[in-house]
Order: sequence, then C-alpha cells, then structure tokens
Amino acid sequence: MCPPPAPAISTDGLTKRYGDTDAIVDLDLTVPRGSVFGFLGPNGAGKTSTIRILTTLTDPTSGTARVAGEPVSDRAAVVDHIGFLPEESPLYDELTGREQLEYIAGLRGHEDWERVESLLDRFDLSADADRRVETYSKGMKQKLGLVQALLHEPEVLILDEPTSGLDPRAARTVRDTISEVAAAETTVFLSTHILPVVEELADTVGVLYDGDLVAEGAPAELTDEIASGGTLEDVFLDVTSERPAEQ
Amino acid sequence: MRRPDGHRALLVARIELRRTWRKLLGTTRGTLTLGGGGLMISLYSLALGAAALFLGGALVESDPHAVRLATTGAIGGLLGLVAFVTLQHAVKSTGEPDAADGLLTTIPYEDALAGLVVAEVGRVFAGLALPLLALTLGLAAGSAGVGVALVVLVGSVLVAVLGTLVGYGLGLVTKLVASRSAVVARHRASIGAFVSLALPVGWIALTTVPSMQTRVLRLVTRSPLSWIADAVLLALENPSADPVHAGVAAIALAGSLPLGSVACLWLAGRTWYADPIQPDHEFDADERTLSDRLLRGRVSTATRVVAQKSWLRTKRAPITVQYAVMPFFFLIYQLQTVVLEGVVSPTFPLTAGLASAAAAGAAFSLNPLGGEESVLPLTLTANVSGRNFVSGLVLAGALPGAALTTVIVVGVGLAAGTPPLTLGVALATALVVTVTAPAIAAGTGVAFPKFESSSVQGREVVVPSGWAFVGYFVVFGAAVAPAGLAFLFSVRDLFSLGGEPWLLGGGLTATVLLCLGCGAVGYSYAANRVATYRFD
Repeated sequence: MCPPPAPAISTDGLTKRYGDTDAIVDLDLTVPRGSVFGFLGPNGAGKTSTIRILTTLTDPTSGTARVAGEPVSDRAAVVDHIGFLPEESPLYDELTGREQLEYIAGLRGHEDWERVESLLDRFDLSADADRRVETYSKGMKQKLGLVQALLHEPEVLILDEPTSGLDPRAARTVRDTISEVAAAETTVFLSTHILPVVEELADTVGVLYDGDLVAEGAPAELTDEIASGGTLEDVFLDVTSERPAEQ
Repeated sequence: MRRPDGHRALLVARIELRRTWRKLLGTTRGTLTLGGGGLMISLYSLALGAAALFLGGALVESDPHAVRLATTGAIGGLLGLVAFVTLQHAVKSTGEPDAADGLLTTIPYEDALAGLVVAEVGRVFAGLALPLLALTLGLAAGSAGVGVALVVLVGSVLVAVLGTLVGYGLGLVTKLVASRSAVVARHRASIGAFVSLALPVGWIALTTVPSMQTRVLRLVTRSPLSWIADAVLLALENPSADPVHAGVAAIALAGSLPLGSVACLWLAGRTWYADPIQPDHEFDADERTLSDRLLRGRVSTATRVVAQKSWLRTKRAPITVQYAVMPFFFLIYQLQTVVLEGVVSPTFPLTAGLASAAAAGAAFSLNPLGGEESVLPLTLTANVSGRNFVSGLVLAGALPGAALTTVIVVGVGLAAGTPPLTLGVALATALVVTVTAPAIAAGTGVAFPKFESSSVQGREVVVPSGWAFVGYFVVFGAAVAPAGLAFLFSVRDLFSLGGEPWLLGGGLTATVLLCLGCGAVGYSYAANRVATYRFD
C-alpha cells in the first residue's frame, strides 16, 4: 500500500517575530494537495508574513514549513514547485506583456508559447500583449501577474488578493481559472478580503487573527458551527471580534 | 549557497540591460545623457588612442620606477572609479532585483544575483569598451608593442570586473547595514544625503592636493599591490621585472574574481531576505518642537503647518530637496583656493552667503504645486488660502536659510579678515536675499510647475522643472547683481573704488529694493495661482 501523499503545504509551530512583535505564533497548518485553501484574517493578522515564509521570501523565527514536500529552507527546491502572485504584480514596466511572459517562461525553462498565447487570450490580454506594461491598467497588470504565476503549471499556486483591482468580468475569469487549476490537482492557497470569493472557491478556510489560527474548516462547517447558518462574513466577524481588527 | 545557473543568469542580465536601455531612451534626459556620454567617451577614446600610439614608446624608455608608478596609479584609478560607480549604482537601484517577489519565487537567488552582477559588468564595459579598445590598438600599433597592449587589455578587463564585484559587494554591505541597524534605518535618508554631498566634495578636495596623491601612490608602489606592474615590465622586456611578482599578482588578480563572486552571493543571501528594521516615528501630541516654539501664535495655523510639513518631509527624506545644495557647488573654486593657498578670498563671505540664500529659496518653494505630489487635490480643497500656503513654503525656506546664511557669512568673513563694514554689508545683503529668495522661487515655480516624478538615487521624486530653475536663477541673479558687483569692486578695489561707502550702500539699497520687489511679485503671483489652480 502506498503511503498517503504529503500535503501540499504544512507548517509546524511556525513563528515569525519582528523585533518585539509576534507576527505569527506557533502556526500549525495542513493544506491537502489539489484543494483550495482560503486564508483569511484582518489587516496585520500575519497573513503576508505566512505567505512570505511559504514562498521562501523570508525565514521563520522558529518552526518548520514545507511546500510541495520541500522544506522552505531549501529555496531552490521550493520555487520550482510554486507560482506566486503577490498583492502588487511583480512586473517590469519597460517590457511588453509578451516579453514579460517570455522572460518568466525562459527562467522557468517552460517555453510553451502555445500556453502563453492561450492564457493571454483567456485573460483578454492578446490585443495588448505587445504594449509596454507601464501603459497597463491595474487590472491588466493583475491579470498578467496571474498569467505569469500560472505559466509553468505549478503544483502550488499562492495568490495574495488576486481579484483586487479587477472589474467584475475579469474577477469572474480569475475565479473560473482558480476553479479550473484546482480541478487539475493544483493546490491553491488563496489570501483575500473578498469573502464571497472564498465562500465560492475554497474547500477549506483558515482565519488568522493576531498571528493565531482561530478557525479552520470547510466554509459550510464554519458557518454552521460558528455563525449558526450565517455567512462566512459572520464567521469572520465573530472570530476576530475580541480585539480591534487593525493592528 | 549553490552555484548559479549560467543560462538563467544570462537571461536575467539580458533583460536587465534591455530595461536599462529602454529607460534611457524613454526620457529626453536619458537620451541626452546617452548622446552626451557617447560623444564624450568617443572623444576621450580618440585622445587616449592617439596618446597610446604616439607616447606609448615612452614606456619602453622610461625607468622601471616610473612605469611602476604609472601602472599602479592607473590600476588604482580604474579600480576605484569602477568600484565607486558600481557601489553607488548598487545602493541606489541594482543592489536588489526589481519586482523581487516575482523573480525570487521564480528562480534561486544565486541565479538572480549572478544575472544582476553580469548586467552591472555589462554597464561598466558599455562605458569602458571604447577607451580600452582605443588604448590597446594605440599601444599595439605604436612603439610600445603588441605584448604590452595585450597585458594592458587583459589587466584592465580583470581590474574592471574586480572593481564591479568590489563595488557591488560594498553596495550589498551598505544595504545590509541599513536594513539591520536601527540607528542607520532611522537616519538613512540624512546619512545618504550627507554621503552624496561629502563624497564628491572630498574627491574634489583630494584632487586639488597632488602632493597627497603622489605620497599615497609612492606608498602603494612599495607594497605588493604594485606587483602587477612587473607584468607590464616583463612585456617591456625590462631587466628589473620580477617574474615571480608578476605571476603572483596575476594569480591574485584572477583568483580574486571567484572570491569576490562568492562574497557577493553570500551577502545577497543575507541582504535580500533580511527583515528590515522599521524605525518608529513616535508622535506626541503635547510635544512642542522648536518649530512650534518659533511659529505657534506668530503665524496662522495653516501657514505654520505648511512650513512644519515641509521640514518634516525633508527631515525624513532629504533626497526630496537634494537639488537645493547645487548652489554650494559654485563655491568649489574658492574652496580649492582655501585648501591650496591657505587664503580665504575676500569675495568668499558674500558668495557663500548668496549660495546659502539661493539654496534656501530653491529648497521648498521652487515647485509649490507639483511638490505636493498626490496630496495636491487635498491641499487645494482644504481650508488653506493661497497666501497661507505660499507663506508656509516661504517661511520653510527663509527661517533655516537665515540662520545658515548668518553662520556662513560671519564664519567665512572672520576667516577672511573682512573689515566690519564690508562684512556687515555682505551679511545684510545675504540675509535680505535669503528671506526674499523663497518668494521669488515660488513665483517661478508656479509659472513652470512640474508634476511628473523623476528617479533620484533610485527613488521617485518630483523635482522642480528645468525652466523653473532657469527662471529663478535669472531673477535671483538680476536682483543680487547690484550688491554683488558693489561688493566685488569694493573688496578688489577695482577702478579705485575700494572702501567707498556710497558704493556698498548703493549696491545694497538697489539689491534690497529689487529683492523686495521681485519677492512681492513672486509671492502674489504664486498665492493667486495656487488659489485659482484647476486640474485641466
């Protein structure tokens, strides 16, 4: 009998401290492969710190984390398996949209131009692909950032506010794309403040508050247990109501 | 730490260089810089090639000590220049990847670092390739010979690459210290502004003292650092050449490149992933600052807060007004005279005072509208009249400007042994100009506003427009001309007018009247323009 596959993301006692401030405290998290994990929390709760550790951009103060089975201390191994869209799309203003994607595809060693064109088309970027990124609107940059995160068909897709700045049509495209990649066994770690998006897409939701994971479970379970059949927003407000949300 | 992947590093370098090229061609300033730089480098290369062709033979006939001195000086100069330029570049922009969150989650950081360093080497050689080629061809075609030309070419390339690695490494160290030290983090803007000013001034001061350079060079030629000169002497078939020294120097130079690369990799791993210290800016509502004590109750609240805001922004980010130090560079010639001859020029007190006045005027008022950046809509819709707003900007420049001008004029005047009457006139003139210059600047600043940001030391800053600078300095120059000329005639005793009280008095009166007139016009125009400004 084969052992069960390792989870896509797991953290054990993960702690991050900046000076005297605890950003994350003893975080234990398990995200199964092929699932969509909605990561919620008020501003300053520690979401970005968690994401930066999972993407190897910063080291934990203590504890361990693994992404796609690789420890985050092994940066080279982790970046091979992940696609990442931070809150501000990491793009170069001086390049055209197509050049940006060709560059990332080249760095990834995944020069599949058919896929590039198909993703550009899907996100309505084909007509603007040869314009410089500096001329793009915020929504277009966000879409291009998502395309470059998806290019190499990563095992784990980590998205920080992917629908921020998008018009309803583009936001719909992003949500559909997330559903599709999840159906194709890609694990999606989705951090957002737009709760209906999480409610629609996530298999599991985790709510971080003051660095602690204060609620975790399927959206339906959480709404039943905590908000007595209310919405995810009710759950969020309930579990983060003890102290002021803004840190 | 792993060995970088060559393919990825070259891809990163290619894109970095393409971005640099497009940035340069994307603005008029960049295109002019590129054209001007290209022309200067071409002319310099022609001169260097011609010198190598016709004078290269002197190397053959020179005594070994002169060759050693020249080689060591050239290597030191090239290494220092390349390292300094790269250090500045690394601290300002290339010391970490742009869009780092994307690049560092796409490839291992070692590949990114290697790409950035290769791109930096590419930029260095974009400037050095033509002069090096001209030098090599000149030496090879002239009586110095092909052997010397090859040694010089290979040596220069290795030294330039080493300089790039040293500069880049020092840039990473600077960034690491800035991100880890609370003191540096809190004052990094001030430290950066000071270093930016101190380095060119220090360099200019050093180049004015040839004896000091020669002394340093002689010390170096007695150390193993000059052993590379033995390689040149070997190529010249000079009997005093030491092959062992030449071999050791060549191995050390070539070996320092991988060592420098490893050091840069190690430093990048620490710098790029460091959690930067965020300095606290504590706010105490009851605290009375010096500016509170000076202004509260004496000017309207709106004027006071505009002035205080200007000072606070400058304190936190001096780079936003760095252009204002430009007038002080006009004092370099007189500073050189002080250093070289130990004599303070009699005109120095007034010129120093006028430089201070020009700086005070330019610092806060030369772009009243654009300087507000994204806050401009809020400023225009807040309950601040045009007069209150412009008064705040004028106060922001005039108050510290008056203090600085007094200190400078009196200090330099005492050092120069200026007679009391002349010193009094210089001080009065400089103070009147200091107080009115911000109003003159405000007038030209609203006439030629600039809203687009420019990159200054890697930071996007809205600096005043070129036309505002020109307009301001024309009006400023016309206003200070009578007192300036009178002072010059008096202290230099030109046309036998030295010590004539009517001359100094007349010049001062004319300048006072002109400054007050121009200041009043500039102030009214600026206040009216701010009050009626519309986004069209």
